[in-house]
Amino acid sequence: MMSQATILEATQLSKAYGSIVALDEATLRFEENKIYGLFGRNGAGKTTLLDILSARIFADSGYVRCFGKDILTNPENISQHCCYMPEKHYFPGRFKVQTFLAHASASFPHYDEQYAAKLCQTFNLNVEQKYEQLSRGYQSIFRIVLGLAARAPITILDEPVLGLDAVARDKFYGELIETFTQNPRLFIVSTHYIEESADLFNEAIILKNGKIIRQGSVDEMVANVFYVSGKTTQVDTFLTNQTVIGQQVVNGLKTAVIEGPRPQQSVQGLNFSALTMQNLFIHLTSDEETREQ
Amino acid sequence: MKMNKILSNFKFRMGYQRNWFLWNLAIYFTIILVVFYALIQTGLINKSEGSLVYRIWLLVFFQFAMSVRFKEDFDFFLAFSNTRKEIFYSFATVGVTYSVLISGIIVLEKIVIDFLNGWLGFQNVVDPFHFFAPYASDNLFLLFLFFLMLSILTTFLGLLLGSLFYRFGKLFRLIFWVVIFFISAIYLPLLMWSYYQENRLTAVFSNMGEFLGGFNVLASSGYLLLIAIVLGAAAFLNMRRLPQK
Repeated sequence: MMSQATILEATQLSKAYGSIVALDEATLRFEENKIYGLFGRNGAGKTTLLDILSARIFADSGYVRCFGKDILTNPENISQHCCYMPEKHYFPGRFKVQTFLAHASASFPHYDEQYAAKLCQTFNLNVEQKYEQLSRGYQSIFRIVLGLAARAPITILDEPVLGLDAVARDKFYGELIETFTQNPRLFIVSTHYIEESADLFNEAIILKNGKIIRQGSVDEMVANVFYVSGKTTQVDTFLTNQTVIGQQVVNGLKTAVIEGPRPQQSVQGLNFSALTMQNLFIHLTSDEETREQ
Repeated sequence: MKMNKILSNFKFRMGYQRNWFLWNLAIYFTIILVVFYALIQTGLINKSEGSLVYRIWLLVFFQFAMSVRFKEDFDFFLAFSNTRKEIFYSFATVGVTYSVLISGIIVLEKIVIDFLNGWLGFQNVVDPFHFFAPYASDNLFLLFLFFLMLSILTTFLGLLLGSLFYRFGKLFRLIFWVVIFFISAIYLPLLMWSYYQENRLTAVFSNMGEFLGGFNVLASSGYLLLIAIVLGAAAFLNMRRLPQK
C-alpha cells in the first residue's frame, strides 16, 4: 500500500497545568486523507492535545509541524489549513446562527455554503435562532455543520456528538463518511462513543494520563488482542510469557486480555474470543489491573 | 495574513458596536436635551453666567470600553481560524475607524455648541482639558487630530488591558481595578489640595502637561500618538502568543 503524506506532526509535546501533567512527551503523525479517532478517559489530555495541534494553546516543550512548517513560527499555515471545532463553546450567544455561517465563508478558504445549508436542513438546525437559545445538542450540531462545511484540509472535531441523541449521532457518522468519500481530507475526531464510532476511523489514538499508549490502525489494534477465559489455574498457566492487559475473576472463572497474535489452534479448557475497540480501550485505560467478583 | 478575514472580522465587530454606539449617542442626547430644557425653564442658565459646555468628548472612553471587552471577540475570531496577528489588526482597524467617527462627532459638537453659545449670547469659558486646551483653538482640524489620537490611545490601552486580563485571569483583573480605585482615591484629593495650595505638586502636574505638548495641540497629538503606538505594540506582543482560555 502506498504510504500517504504526513501533513500534521507533533513531536515530544508536553504540557502541564501547575502540578498536573496534561500531556507527556506526545509524538504523533497524521497522514492526509485519513480519519483518526482520539480516545481517552476524562482528563486524559485529549482536548489539550487538540488545542496544541490547532495552536489554540502552546506546549511547554516539543513542537507541531503543519505541512512541514512549525506552527509557532508560521501560524498562518495552521490557520489557513485547519478548522478546529472545540468542545468548549466560544461563540457569542446573542448572535444568530445565520450570522456565524455568513462569517464562515470569509474565514475558511474552502467553505461550502450550499453544503452548510444542506447540513442545516439534514439536522433541522434553525439558522434564525440565537446561539444561546440552542439546546446543548443543537450547539453541537452547529459545530458539526461549521466543521464539515469548512472543508478544511485538516478538520479537528472535539467531542462533536456531545449531547446528541442516537438519531443525530447516526446522521453525523453518515455525513462524515459521505463528505470524506466525496472530498477526502484529514479528520481528527475525539469521542467517548467508541463502540458506535470505531468503524469510522482509519486509525485510533489512545491517551492515558497524558501519554499516548496506542496509535495505529483500528483493525490491526483489535486483531492483535484477544480474550482468553477458563478455570483460573488453566488461564494462569496460559498467561506465562504473554503480555496481559487486564484480567478478571468471576466465580472461579478467569478472563484475561492478551496482547499478541491469537492462537491458531484451540487449547482444551480455554476459550478465545475477540475484543471490540471499546473493550480494548476499557482494559488499556482502566486503573484496575485485576478485578475480582 | 489574509485581508478578507480582517475585513470580515471588521464588518462583524463594526456591526454590533454600531448598535451600542448609537445607544450611547441616543442616551447622551436625551440627557443633554432634558438638562438643557430644565436649566432654561428654571432660569439657572442665563446670559450673564454659564454657557453650554463640551461633553461628548467622553465618547473616547467608548473605545476603551469596547477594547477592554476582549475575551468574547478573541475567542470567536480564534474559533474562525484567525491568527493572533489577524485578530490584532481586526481590533485595531475597528478601533481606528470608530476613533475617526468619534473625533468627527466631537468637531461637530464644537461647531454646534459655539454657534448656540454665540446665538444665545453665552460665554464660552470651559475647556475640560486644562493642560492641553484643544477646544480653545479655532482650528477644527487640530481638534479633530487631538481627539483622534486620544481615542486611538484609549483603544490600544483597552486592548492591552483586555489582553492582559485574558492572560492573567479574573484575580489579576480584580486586583488591577482595586489598585486603580485606591490610587484614584488618593490621587484626586491630593490633586485638588495641591491645586489650591499651589505647591510643588501642582508644578509637577503642570510639567506633566507641558511634557505632553502643553497648549501646543499639534505637539500633544504627536505625543498621544507615540503613547498609543507604545500601547499598541505592547498589546500586539501580549497577543502574539496568547493561549486560549
